[in-house]
Amino acid sequence: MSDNQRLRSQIEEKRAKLADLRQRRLDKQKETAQRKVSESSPAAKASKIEDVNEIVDRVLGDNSPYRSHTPSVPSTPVNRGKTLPVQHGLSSGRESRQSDFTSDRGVLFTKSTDSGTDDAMEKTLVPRHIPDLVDVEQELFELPQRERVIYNKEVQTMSFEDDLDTFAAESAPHRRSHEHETDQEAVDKELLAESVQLDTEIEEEIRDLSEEERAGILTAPEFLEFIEQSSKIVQRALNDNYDYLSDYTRGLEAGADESEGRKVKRVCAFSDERYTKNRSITDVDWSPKYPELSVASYNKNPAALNEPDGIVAVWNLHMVERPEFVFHSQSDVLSVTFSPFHSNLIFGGTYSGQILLWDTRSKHLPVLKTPLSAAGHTHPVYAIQMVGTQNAHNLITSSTDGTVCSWLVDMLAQPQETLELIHAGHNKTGEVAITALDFPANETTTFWTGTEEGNLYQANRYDRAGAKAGLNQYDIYRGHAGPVMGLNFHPLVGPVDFSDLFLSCSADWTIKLWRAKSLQKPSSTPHNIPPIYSFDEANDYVYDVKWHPNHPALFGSVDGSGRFDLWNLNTDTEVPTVTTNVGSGRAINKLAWDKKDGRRVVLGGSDGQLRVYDIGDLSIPRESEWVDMQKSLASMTSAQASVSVEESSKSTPGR
Amino acid sequence: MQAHPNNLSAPSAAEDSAAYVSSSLDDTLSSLTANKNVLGYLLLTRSSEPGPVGIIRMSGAIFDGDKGKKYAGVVSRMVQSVQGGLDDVQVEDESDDLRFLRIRTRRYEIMITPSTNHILAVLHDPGSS
Repeated sequence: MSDNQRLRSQIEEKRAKLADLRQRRLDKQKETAQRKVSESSPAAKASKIEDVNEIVDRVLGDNSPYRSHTPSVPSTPVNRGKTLPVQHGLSSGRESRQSDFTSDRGVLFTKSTDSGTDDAMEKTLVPRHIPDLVDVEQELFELPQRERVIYNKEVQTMSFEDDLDTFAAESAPHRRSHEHETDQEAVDKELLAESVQLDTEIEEEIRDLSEEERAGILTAPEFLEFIEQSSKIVQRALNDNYDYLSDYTRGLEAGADESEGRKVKRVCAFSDERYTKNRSITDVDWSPKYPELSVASYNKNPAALNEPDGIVAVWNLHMVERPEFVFHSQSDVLSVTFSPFHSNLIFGGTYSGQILLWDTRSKHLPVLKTPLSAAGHTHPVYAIQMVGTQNAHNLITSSTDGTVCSWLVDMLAQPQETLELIHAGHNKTGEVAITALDFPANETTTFWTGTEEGNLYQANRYDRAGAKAGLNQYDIYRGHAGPVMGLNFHPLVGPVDFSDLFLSCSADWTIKLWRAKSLQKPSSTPHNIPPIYSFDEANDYVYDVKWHPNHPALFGSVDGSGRFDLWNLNTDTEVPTVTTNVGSGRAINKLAWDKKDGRRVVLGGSDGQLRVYDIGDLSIPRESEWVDMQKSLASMTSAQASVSVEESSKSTPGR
Repeated sequence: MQAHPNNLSAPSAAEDSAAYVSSSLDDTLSSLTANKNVLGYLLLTRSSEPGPVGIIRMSGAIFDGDKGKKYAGVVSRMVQSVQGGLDDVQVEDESDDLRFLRIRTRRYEIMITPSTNHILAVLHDPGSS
């Protein structure tokens, strides 16, 4: 409180001093103006004086609001001793020092500011009437005391200088203009010098690297890493293809989009001159974590002996030009899968039987691989699948000699368990040549396999409920007349459980729909299970078939003529809903639906092209689809039942 | 199987892999320029202290002659000043680095990806697609 009062009294004191000062300044100004007028032409004398007074008044008037505040740190006049009583400045300086620390700092600031102003003034005005300038300069007093405002003074001083300029211009136009000219010249010269200097600086800034230096940089691993990363960033950015400066007010001629109206549209096609040329895609998968990443495995390129036989490439929808990652294998990679639980890990099964694990955080070579011994696979691995949960999962692999192995993902040195699928009824050797394998949803112990002979079998990983581990020899899903190329269980999604349904496709040009026999009542005698339905629309080998992840009645198939068929069982069971001819007419080997919403499907071609298609709204199921699917199934089974009854009645007499 | 002839990891294939590396560099850069919108790129050296910038490599008609040098100077100054600004605003304990600069002018866009020791700048024409 007392502080406040003291401050107030100080303010009063300062005000009084200020008023006094102002009075004196006015007097002084009149005096100098008169003197000046007497020097210059007498004609304009009267008006000039008036003008000057007016300006001074205006300047003072403009700043009148500040007067209500405490005057600024009053030590300024110390430097202006010519017109002001020295002891006055000193005393006020002392006062401000008394008040508090900040104003003390303020004093320092002011001083530095003053010296700056002095310089400026010397340059332009020293030859002329210094007293005038000094007078106006004293407006510095009128600033509020707060520190920040003091700091701003520099700016204010500048603007005052402007005022001075106009004032000077009016009082001495010729000199002023002359000064302007020289000023201009000086500025020009300065600019010129600066630009020259900049030029030389630029020259200095850039130096040509010597050949050795360049070669050193070009081969440094750090530099290669940099190129790898930075070019990826740039290419991703280039790929978004959106012009941020688009002007939509400008009309665009309405060119007919060729893909318009089509429900299944190509998004992009991936291939790489270096890595994927002359190779075929053997398997595809989507990343579980990043919806823009997909992986494809490739077989060998017969034309490039120095390149690795097998390649796995991870492609990014945002970077078409080249793969995000490339992994190498010594043998053709036949099957590939992202680990659903570690977004960095990719597993591959090879022609030699090795199972490889690559990590996107490391280089091209696998971080883990299985030994080629009797404990693992020694035959081509066409089917590979991860089962289980985040905390307990296994990699299940199968080779064409009937071996099924289960691996712990971090220990590929030896399989956790090995299973021989043997069928006693086979000629010569009991081996079952597995070409496809799938687990029903939420099932980790029993699986179904497709074989080279065309039959499908169920098999158990462990002994369970009356059934032995290994192949179930009694239930034979007989229907295909050629090797089974693909097998896929219905995903467990939506209100109705269709997870006992599965599709298989074969080189006999058909796709078949099956219902898995319940495990609760195992058969004790050999027993054929017929398919529920057969889709005979294809005109070539059907290489792969996959249920849509969200839509219960939708599935896709790809065949040897390069066709991608989309079937909707609720719409039509005879012909596909949408048929798309993909690319060159060469076979499409594999397809995979994206794991998020199934809008996109990736197709792996035998021409080495990985194509991504968007099926748009077809991927969104209506609510009634599940009930409709039940009806469609019922009508299919009843039709099939009557057919099989006929067939069996026909064939029975023959046996 | 260990003596597989095409084993790239084998030390005997070291020479191959050197050639392999440099060809992979060329492939990467040519795949960059293969994009029809890309007008050219500049590969520069970068150092933390102010000093001359070296042009490692450049490509594209737009960077021919002195223009490339000018661009190089501008790019390196730009990177320096942005990194300086970043240093000014960032809090002590969470350091940050400039990774990607995208500057769009009415006609072109320049994309700059600096690392600690190098700078890649790619000039392209986004409107021509």
